Amino acid sequence: MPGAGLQRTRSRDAALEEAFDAAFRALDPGHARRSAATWSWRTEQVPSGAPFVTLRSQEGAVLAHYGALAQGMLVDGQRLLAGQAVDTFAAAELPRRRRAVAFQEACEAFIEDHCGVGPCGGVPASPVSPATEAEGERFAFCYGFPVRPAWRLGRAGLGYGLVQEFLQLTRPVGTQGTARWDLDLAVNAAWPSDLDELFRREAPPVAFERTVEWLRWRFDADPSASSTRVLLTRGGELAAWAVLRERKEGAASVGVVVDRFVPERDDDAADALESALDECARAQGWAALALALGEADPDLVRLQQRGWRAELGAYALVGRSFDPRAPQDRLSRELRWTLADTDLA
Amino acid sequence: MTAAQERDARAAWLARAPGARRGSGGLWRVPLPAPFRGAARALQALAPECPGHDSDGGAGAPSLEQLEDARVAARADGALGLVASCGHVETEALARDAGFERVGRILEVRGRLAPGAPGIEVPLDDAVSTLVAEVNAVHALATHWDPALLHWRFGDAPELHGACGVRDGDRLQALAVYSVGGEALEVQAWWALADAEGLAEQRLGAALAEVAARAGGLELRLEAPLWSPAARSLLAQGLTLRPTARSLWVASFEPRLDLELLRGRWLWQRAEDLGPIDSHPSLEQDS
Repeated sequence: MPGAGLQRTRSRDAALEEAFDAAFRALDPGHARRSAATWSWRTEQVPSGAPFVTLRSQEGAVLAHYGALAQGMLVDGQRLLAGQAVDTFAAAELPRRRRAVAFQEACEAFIEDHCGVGPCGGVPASPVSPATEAEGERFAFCYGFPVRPAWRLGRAGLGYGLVQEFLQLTRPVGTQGTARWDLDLAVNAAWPSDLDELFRREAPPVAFERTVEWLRWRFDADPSASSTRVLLTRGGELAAWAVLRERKEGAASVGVVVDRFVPERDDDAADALESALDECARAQGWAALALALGEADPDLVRLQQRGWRAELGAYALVGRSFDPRAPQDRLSRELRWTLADTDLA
Repeated sequence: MTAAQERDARAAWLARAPGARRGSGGLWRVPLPAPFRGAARALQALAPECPGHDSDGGAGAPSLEQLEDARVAARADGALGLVASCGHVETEALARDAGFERVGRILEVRGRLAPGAPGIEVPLDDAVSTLVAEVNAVHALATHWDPALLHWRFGDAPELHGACGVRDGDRLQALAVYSVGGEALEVQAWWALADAEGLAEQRLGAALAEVAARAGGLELRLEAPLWSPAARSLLAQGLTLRPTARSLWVASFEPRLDLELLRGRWLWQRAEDLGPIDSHPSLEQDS
């Protein structure tokens, strides 16, 4: 329960947006004010919901805020709800000690309302936001890829532990052959209707879920960045896919593979996807390709065999399991993720 | 050697470790002196004497009570922290419940390098301890391998080891202790003086590659923090990064020895992992 004289709220308003911008500007002087379109995309438009708890004074001043983007996660075929913690902060103008206490209270309120097993508790949903999955179901797993100060707070406030490393892989463009065997390439075609079924059929035992609905939200509807869809079909059926985004590195550009999916045993599709990524990158004039994954991903070894070089990134996947169906140490050993499951894409 | 003889030999070897103590369930605690901020304190490595095997022939594991006992005893010893590696997900849950924190999956850098100039055989003596102290000086936390620890861990060890060094004039510039198992030359410890171009690392890698080539074209295998100069050097030379089955866990008794420091500034070595606590070390030789 919030401390005496405090209240929990779950509605986004101008005061919350102002407090968010002030808190992130204090951390990063280059922080640009978030647009209304981006706010809407990251809250109301998230397919499974984006619940949050804002701790306010009785007068309505924002003290701290904790929220997460809800997302499906498959564990041995069972669908659970995961939450990627995003946009969490304590008000910049609070004294340091008060800031830490307020953030801790917001964390605890969020866990109480949204994490664990069973239906959600907490305050009712805002009457202006549509009901979402996350308003009825609790998070089995909460995670993030925080900067170090945020991780310290997450460990103290939420009991977050290390789940996986963040490994960066890069390769120069033009190193792959051009053969695509019996697969056809389509760039920026609409997401095919058989994508959900392909993922359900071929998904690794522990992975974040991919559906057309989620991909449309994650990439097509994102007002802050554009993406290139790379789709490979075999006999008219989807065989593998990836999403590329451009990242400027000085005068050069790098193609970042922000999402990709290849069935585990389909080596032809994996080879063809590498060729297709090369083709797309060359067409854009990109010098190199980059992606990120965790050490639990079997593609770590396969991609290095295809010419990618690996190095340790500056982040780490940290989190906490709240549900015995998704044991934390199993997630450490098996969970598959891509940059699309992070706030870093 | 029978399983009983193997267990007895390992127990006798652990008992000879400087300052080693035996806890419940045959879990030994072996001090690894790690002068932390000037204080001569030690991390302790949790070492299984001979973990049991379950009825299916799988790996055994200590109980929650045995892990908790070990943590409490290490703290009472005045240790900086207690280190263990786990090979199975079930043991990891026990370690978490017993107050250990996961530092990370142990990753290996593996592959073949072009052989270079041969290194030199180096006796594990005071000169090595001097090199180690010089290398360790730039790291927040690293075991000080004094001659007694070096002699016990390598000279007295059941496995065969070699030590390959490179010199710059009269000065020992870098040294690796290795063992040979399966198809790999496994680096047990790696110390190289820092230089701007990483030449000491490269020379040592090439010398080890030469040993590996002479031993039948073996791969090199290094387990080390990915930020370490050794791992970075070998990755830059084209070796491959792979996960192992083991994770590193630490129960810290020093507030400043937090997870961030352990992950980012603890130069641990393969030789400090005295076997995962949930499988017999001999099963790990070819992993």
